[in-house]
Amino acid sequence: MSNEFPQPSEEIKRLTSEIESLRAEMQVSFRKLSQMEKRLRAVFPNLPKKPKATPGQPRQLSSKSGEQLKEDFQRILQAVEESGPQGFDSTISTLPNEDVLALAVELGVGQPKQTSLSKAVEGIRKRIQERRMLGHTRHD
Amino acid sequence: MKEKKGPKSIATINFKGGVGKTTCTWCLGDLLSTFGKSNVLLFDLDAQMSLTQAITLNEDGSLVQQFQTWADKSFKKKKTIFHAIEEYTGAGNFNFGVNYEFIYQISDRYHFIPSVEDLYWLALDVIPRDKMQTFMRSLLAKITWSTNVQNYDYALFDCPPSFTLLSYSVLSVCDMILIPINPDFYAAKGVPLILNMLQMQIEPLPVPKIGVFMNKAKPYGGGMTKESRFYWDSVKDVCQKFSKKSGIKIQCFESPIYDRVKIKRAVTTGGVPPEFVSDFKSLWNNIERFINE
Repeated sequence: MSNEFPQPSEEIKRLTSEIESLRAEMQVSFRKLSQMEKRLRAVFPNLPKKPKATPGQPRQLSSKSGEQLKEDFQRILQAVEESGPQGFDSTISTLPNEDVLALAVELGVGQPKQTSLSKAVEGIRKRIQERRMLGHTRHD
Repeated sequence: MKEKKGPKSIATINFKGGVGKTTCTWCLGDLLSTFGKSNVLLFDLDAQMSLTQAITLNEDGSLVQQFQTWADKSFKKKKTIFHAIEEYTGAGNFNFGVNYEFIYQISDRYHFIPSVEDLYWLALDVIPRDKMQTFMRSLLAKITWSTNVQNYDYALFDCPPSFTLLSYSVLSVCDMILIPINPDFYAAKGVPLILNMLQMQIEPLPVPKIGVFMNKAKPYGGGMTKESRFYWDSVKDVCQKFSKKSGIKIQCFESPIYDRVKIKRAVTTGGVPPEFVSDFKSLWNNIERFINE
């Protein structure tokens, strides 16, 4: 039998011991960290506490209708046809963030309230590429 | 001589597999013959025999006894579609007799011409293309004038996902070509591909009217999802552009068939599932309006 690869049971044993050793190292580090923090607070009682995570600002919603967003899409498409990827960047940068997010939702590449701006931009870029590839016929 | 009207013919095609050509063709035929008043003749032109198998196999995979008996007789009497092609493209006259040994009766008003494996020979181009072009027209004329079978209002063709000689024979003479698409990039990409191919292969003969519809649309709040809508809008866009430049009549039907689990077993369970009846009725209304324009 080939010795090239270890038996699964040996591999499991090896990984288990590696995980245990990492966990032990992390526990030591955490213990040291909390001791340091305690000493620091003992010396400086007015040290500001860790800021609590605050809920983000509510997103501003786009006031554009579906039709207006489709017009924006056509405008970006046109810009890409004329100037390539730079056309995409220059046109999308003229749109307010809320319209970019709304356009991504309209194109089915984003969820309202969940999609980040960068994901929305990438989604729109993908849809532009798809639309261009779908549009080519022998009459072009 | 008394004039007799042949059936209106509709051929379903898309080069992309799995878009629902077979299921939709079968459902439309079933809808017309069960819920409507039409006599329908259904053709399976695909050598893969998906439609034939779906109609003629029991759920356990065994052949429906009635079909088994009919198929044995049909083969012995040389009454399959392949025998008809052989006779038509042979040296002699086309004296192929049309009767119920050639046509299988699924129900009173829904009849069927099954596929046979021999149709694979047509992929080898062993038959002259020019001769094959007029085959389906001649066969439909024979069916129309035959006193052995009933009159058909519609002939529906389930075409293979490629441009075989038999598809050529149908696509160049039918009244309408029906293209189902799905809400995904590759299925949508199939539309410009097939439009280009149809024009290249059929011209200088006139290209029939083309109807496009969305099958397996993802439902959301009484309509389709934004993603399905994006692909549908893209397809409409390309069809409009193509139609304008080529002069070919293309209509995109705003009557999607929604993606629901039950449709997958529609053929084997023997009826359009109740929740699909209204989708298919709405699709048919659009098809009928367009074909009669």
